Amino acid sequence: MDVFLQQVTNGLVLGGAYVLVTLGLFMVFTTLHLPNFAHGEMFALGAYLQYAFVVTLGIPFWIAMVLSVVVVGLIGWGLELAMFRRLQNASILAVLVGSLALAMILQELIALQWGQDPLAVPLPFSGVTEIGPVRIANYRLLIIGVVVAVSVLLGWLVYRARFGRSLRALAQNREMAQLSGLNVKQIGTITFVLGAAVAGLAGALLAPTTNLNPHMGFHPTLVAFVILVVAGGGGRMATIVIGGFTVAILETLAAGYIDNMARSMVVFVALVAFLALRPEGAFRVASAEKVQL
Amino acid sequence: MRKLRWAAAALALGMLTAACGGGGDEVAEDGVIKIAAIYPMTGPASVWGTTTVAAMQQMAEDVNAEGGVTVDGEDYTIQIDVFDDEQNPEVAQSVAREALDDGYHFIMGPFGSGTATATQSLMAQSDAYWQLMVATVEGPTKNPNVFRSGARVSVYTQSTLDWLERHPEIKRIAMITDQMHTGLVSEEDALVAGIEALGREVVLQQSHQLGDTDFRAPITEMLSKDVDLYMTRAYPAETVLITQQVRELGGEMLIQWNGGLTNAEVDELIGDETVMENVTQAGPLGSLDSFIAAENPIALAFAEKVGDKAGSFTVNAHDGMVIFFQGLEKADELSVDGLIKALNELQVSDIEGKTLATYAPHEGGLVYQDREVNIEGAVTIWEKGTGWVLAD
Repeated sequence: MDVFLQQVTNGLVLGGAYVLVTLGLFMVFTTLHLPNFAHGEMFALGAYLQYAFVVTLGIPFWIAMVLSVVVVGLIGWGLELAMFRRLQNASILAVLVGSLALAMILQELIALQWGQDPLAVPLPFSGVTEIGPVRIANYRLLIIGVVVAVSVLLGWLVYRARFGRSLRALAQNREMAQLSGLNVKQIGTITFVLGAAVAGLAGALLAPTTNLNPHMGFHPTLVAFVILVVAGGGGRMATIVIGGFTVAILETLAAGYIDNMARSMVVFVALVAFLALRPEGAFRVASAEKVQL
Repeated sequence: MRKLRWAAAALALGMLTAACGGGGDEVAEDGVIKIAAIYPMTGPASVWGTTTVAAMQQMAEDVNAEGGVTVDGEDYTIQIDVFDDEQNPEVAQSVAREALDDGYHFIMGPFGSGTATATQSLMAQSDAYWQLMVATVEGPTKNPNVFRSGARVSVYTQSTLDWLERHPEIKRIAMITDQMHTGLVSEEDALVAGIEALGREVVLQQSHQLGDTDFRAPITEMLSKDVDLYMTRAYPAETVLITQQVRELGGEMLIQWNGGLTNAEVDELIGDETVMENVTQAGPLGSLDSFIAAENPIALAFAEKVGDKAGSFTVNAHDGMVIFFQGLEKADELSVDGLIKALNELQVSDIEGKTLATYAPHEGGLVYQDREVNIEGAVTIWEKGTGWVLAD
């Protein structure tokens, strides 16, 4: 085993989770300008629904995953209609507090339904693949594949499809988009549902690799916000994918070569240092107020 | 001057009220001895709290069904009232105060080392009797009213060292310790010194935090050191993830847990038994599993009663209640002082054949010395198709 290459591979595996969570948050944040702190709870809900479908109801893993994604998407729809649409014109502080409160409510609801004890979802298949000097579980290899596929699909949707043009128009200037005849509410709803569904997919997909607990969405969401901040207002989707993997590799190398307890600290030290040098993020945005998808 | 007189009068009245208040002085009411059980009933540690309390309640039901405990010729029934500390030190302090204010004279718990440490000053200030059944941390039992019926944290260390002594083939050892686990952290230096005294090498000491889910980086580092034994000194959820990830990364070495997982928990959290090959568990025997595997009649009968409410510390609860009941029955009077005196004089022969764990006698055949029992731990190994059995 080559230790360094194995650690980088470990980072890629961890990065898959970060990228999936960040992609959903990125779409909602850049299009609707909503810093949704309850995004991690969509991730947690995806994992818990996967548990409910697979373990409690005995539904086959892959069908359960589709169901989990659809249900989380529907929950996202409900939240957008009931709460986030109303916060569209509210202050950033109101959105932050509102979404944090929502996160806590969802955590408590999850705890009420499934309890606080750690739960586990069985792997749909096992086995390990050796690629040269590194080992990677087949299921984790699949996760990386899904991350790449979802990233490509979302990239196509945003930058190539017609819907993406509307999305980018909304991201650049909501008022102008509205004046030019776009159904802003509908685009906002679809974006929110899509963001929640991607987080749900992340939760359902990663459920067999971790223990489920009601607070499991907190850390990935925190990392997702770090990636968003580092990417800056002008960051494109590819930046998010690269950023997710970079943060995870950095974290893993810190854990492997400095101290396991230093892993989060190194990421946040790097964030502070980065922001001190480049407060506007990696990619500047042309407009002072608007972001570019 | 008149204001001063009023203030003095108010102060005197307040002091009088405080002296009269603060809970009832009756140790038992209407023939019922009320026990406050401070355990985590919600939160991440609730799986232990609920199962431990279930076993305590089963013991109370059993003794009540037989007419209760007899103290100084009077029969009393037992009532257990649960206070949820969420395994949170601040909450533990708060509910402990509540229990004292409510007039409880007998308090079981808190459950964890951190919560027990947090309530230590309240223990010292109170006149109540406290009994630690699971918490392993050193300190609380320095108070004359705090007794521990479970193992001290050194039992985890000693179990491992005794087992290592029988296994000279294990030469290179690595360990990862949860920095939130007060008891295990406090024992790390003693463990390392003990291992080195046996002529073995501790090649790596790693740390992690409660709630971590990705351990591949420290595991990869550990795998590069070619170790014979990897000790995961962690709570159950992290223990399981570490074990799965070690196997996933190709680690086939012996793994030793301190997590205290039961057969049912392993089945639920791991499922795949191939992961459990070469997995051992060191420490006091808190779950019924290894006793059931050894066909211990007390364990078999008690397992039938508690059913699926059995957990990692069911043995601690069972034996702790046996000791408490024996102490009460030996007491000259129903009072905290009476119980403390009786426990200080309790003989191992008084509880022999009634407890699941083996209590080695202190000098003079006593169960307690300095309010600590002499309980032995063991190492169990996972046997495919059976679960935890005593290791060689």
